[in-house]
Amino acid sequence: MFAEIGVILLLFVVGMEFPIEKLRKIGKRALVIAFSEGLDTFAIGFLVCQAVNYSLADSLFLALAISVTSTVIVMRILDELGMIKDETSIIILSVAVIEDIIIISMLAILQSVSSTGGVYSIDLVISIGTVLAFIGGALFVGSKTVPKFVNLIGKTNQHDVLVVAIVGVAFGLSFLAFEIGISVANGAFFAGVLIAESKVHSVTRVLTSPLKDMFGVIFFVSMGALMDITKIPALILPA
Amino acid sequence: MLIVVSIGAKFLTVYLSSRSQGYDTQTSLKAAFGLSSSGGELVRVVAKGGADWGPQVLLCYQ
Repeated sequence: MFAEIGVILLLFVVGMEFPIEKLRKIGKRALVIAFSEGLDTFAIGFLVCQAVNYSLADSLFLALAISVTSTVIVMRILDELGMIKDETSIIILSVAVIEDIIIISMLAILQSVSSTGGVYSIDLVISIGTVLAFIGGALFVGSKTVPKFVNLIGKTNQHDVLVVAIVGVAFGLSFLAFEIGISVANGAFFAGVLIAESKVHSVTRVLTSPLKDMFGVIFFVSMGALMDITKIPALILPA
Repeated sequence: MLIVVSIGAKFLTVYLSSRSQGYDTQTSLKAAFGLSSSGGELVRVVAKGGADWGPQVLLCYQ
């Protein structure tokens, strides 16, 4: 659970570096890169899995699994290297967000195929529509409400209340994302993007940094703890 | 092997598509390096989806 909190706070603080205008500038190009990366990696992964005699099901899901990029780790490294405001970071993050949408859509297709033996367009439309509605709602409705709310709290000069309010926004959107099947990291990222639109975003960044650092460490420890070294000999070759 | 395939495929496709979108070589290389890593928490969602259907190999990959 602490690891999940670390992911949320890390991506939330990263999101504060990316106001909506910055993301809009790069949107079309990120879309092209994300589609070519996600679909090409999936196709190549599938062909390689088939070549080493994995079953059709194993090949499909393994190919999809290797198509996912680890946004959290990459963003943490860029943050530590002081490169978070570079053009590269904006490309990486925009591509990672779009890629998540592609992966979720493809997962919906695979699950539809696996459970029914065919592709049902209604399931697919619902799945993609839900993700797009979440992002659209977060950006369009959120940008009109969240910055105003945060500005209002900021005017009180009560830093403790401000921390509770912005962390509440981060966890609220993360919970919403989790409930509709998107990564909590995406919800937290969009919460950060919305806070970046407020007048007190520089104060909020300073206030949330210690929380991000503390829970971020727990996230990386838990990632290491997931590793079962007894399985390495059996999996080293296929991996 | 899958790790090599994953990193190689991601690196190559991101680099080529970034170049095709007009980014310079340095920016494209940095983006390619940054996006080459596989994993993250969404993999757990994919692994769960796959494991529900049957491919237990995914739980090991995770």
